Amino acid sequence: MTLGSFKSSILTSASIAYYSFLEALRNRLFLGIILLAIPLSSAAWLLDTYNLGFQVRLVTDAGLTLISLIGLLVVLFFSLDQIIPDIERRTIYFVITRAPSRHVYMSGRFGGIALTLLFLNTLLGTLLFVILRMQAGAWFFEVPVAMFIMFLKQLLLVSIVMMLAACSTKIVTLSLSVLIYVVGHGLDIFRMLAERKGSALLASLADFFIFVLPDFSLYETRVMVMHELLARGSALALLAVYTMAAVFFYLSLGGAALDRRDL
Amino acid sequence: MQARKITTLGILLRLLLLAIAISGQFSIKARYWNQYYPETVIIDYNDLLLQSLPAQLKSMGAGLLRLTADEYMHIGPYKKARQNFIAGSFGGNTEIMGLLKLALYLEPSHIETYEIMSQNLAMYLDRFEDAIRLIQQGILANRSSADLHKLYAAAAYCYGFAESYTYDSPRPIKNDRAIALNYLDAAIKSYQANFTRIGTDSYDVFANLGNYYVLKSRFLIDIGKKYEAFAAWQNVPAENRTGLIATYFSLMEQGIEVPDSPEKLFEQIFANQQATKSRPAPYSLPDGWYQTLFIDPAEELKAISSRMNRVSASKVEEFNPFVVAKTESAQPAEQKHEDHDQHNETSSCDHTDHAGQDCSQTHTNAAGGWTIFAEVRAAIMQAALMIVCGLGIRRFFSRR
Repeated sequence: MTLGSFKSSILTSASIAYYSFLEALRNRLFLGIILLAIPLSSAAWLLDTYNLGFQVRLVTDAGLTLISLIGLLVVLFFSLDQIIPDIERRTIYFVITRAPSRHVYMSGRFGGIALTLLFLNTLLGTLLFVILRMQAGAWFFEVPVAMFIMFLKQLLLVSIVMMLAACSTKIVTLSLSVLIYVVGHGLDIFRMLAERKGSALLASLADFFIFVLPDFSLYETRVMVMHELLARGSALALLAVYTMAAVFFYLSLGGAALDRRDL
Repeated sequence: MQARKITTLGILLRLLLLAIAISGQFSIKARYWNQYYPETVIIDYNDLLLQSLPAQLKSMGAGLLRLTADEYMHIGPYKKARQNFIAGSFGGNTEIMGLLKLALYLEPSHIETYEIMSQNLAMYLDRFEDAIRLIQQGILANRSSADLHKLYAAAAYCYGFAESYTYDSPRPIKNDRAIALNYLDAAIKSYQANFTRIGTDSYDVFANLGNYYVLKSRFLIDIGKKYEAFAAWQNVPAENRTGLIATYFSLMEQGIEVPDSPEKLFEQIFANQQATKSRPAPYSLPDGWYQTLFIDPAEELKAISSRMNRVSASKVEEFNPFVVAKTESAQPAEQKHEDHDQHNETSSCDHTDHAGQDCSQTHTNAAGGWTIFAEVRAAIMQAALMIVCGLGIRRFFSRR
């Protein structure tokens, strides 16, 4: 690949990402999610039933859980809306005739969702951060760090959903994504259970899945935030590298599947 | 295929079946109303809405909320927020109250939650009226529960002891032992009425009949009913008869005239003791007992571990916080870095993992820098594998 073609691919991918982002912003579902999330995030005061003052830990915990859940909804529904409807409505033809390859189309669509998630996380995270600053009178830097980790986790899930969407139907993609998400949180537990059983076969199988499936437990932020432990820079850097590697892998798989698919 | 005709008879039959179903539904609910309509207080539409949720779901939600509250209690205050409570105690914890209130909305039959919340509100958070209102709500919602006595006892406890916990407040709370006695009587009555239903596993070290009678006799003394207190004391089991109050009633039992309260009796006994000349020594400790104060616990640990021949002395040194603190405070930061570099250069050990061997040179990872590499080795390997696979897929499986 020459430098010129690489530059062209990047530009095409960026423009697909930009228009995907605009498309997501104009989506009524996204507007609905934001309209639901903002009052819910601001409703921290409702939890103070006995006028005991602002409940920092509860608001932080509930706020981050809420943001995580809303992010998950956006990932699942918006990632599905990226490739499958394009194929069904045949609009994909207009894009891939101008794009250098289907990989570029896929990475552009991925970029669009990433921008949407970045926008959503920034909006809600800033809201939570400002509420905490105003009410508790301190800077809670754990919140932006947690938002960053959550964003990485969402990117990983988006890449999995897009990989599955490139080769299967909506319902299969949705169910498999949820399954991978759930299993990805408990890989260590499955390994431990397999070891306890004393079966070498089960343990090897668990080892295999640990290598193939993404480990979502790496992205746990609750303990860090609840115990006021600021994540180490090295850990964040490694996590970002890990996420990018996994995203690259799943998008490559998805791109290859889309490449070989008869549209 | 010909469509089947709907006849008048068919319509009537369907209507009859519908009528049977509806009447059956209402008959079952009327007959077994206890099962379908527990004693839940319905005050507003929220309560009504909550009734439509399946009980298992509500119970699970309430359980999760209680678990979270318990977790918050153990974590303690948020350091940055300057909160006035400590880890490990519900007392004064403001973070858990919202969660527990929500848990009660979902599961109003959880008695322990009322107990924790009411004591916290009345004793530590200066919300006495809210505490009593909460207990009354609990009593209304659990009238047929075997543990109802615990709620009456919680109210008695609040009325009987709240004064001891009040601090400098514009409206200080006063103990009202007369009201506390009413609640205690209700607790005793409820306990006796449900005695057969109270299982041995639900035995409470505080909320039991013996303690209720001890409290009752104490409160009766406080309101000046000495002889009624003595009558109540007769119901106290032998194992609960301890302390000054037991001495007081024991003297009464023997027909000896006693003052109006056990405290006055104590003053009397103390005054008599002061008057006597020969007093026994207050302490009877062996000679040289104070020397134990100067034993270094770390040395002791080392000696024990060497004796057991399990861990070497240098290994023990690694876990000894006193040694680390001493060396860190003794050396200035710059000097430490110099020493550290020098030490690295002159290091005689040739292994890389110092933690796994008996090596006192803990310089490699002591600063906590990149130990993360060792911790997430599997993740790094997986990431590398994924990059290689991704490149391979792009190279070999994509159409050109």
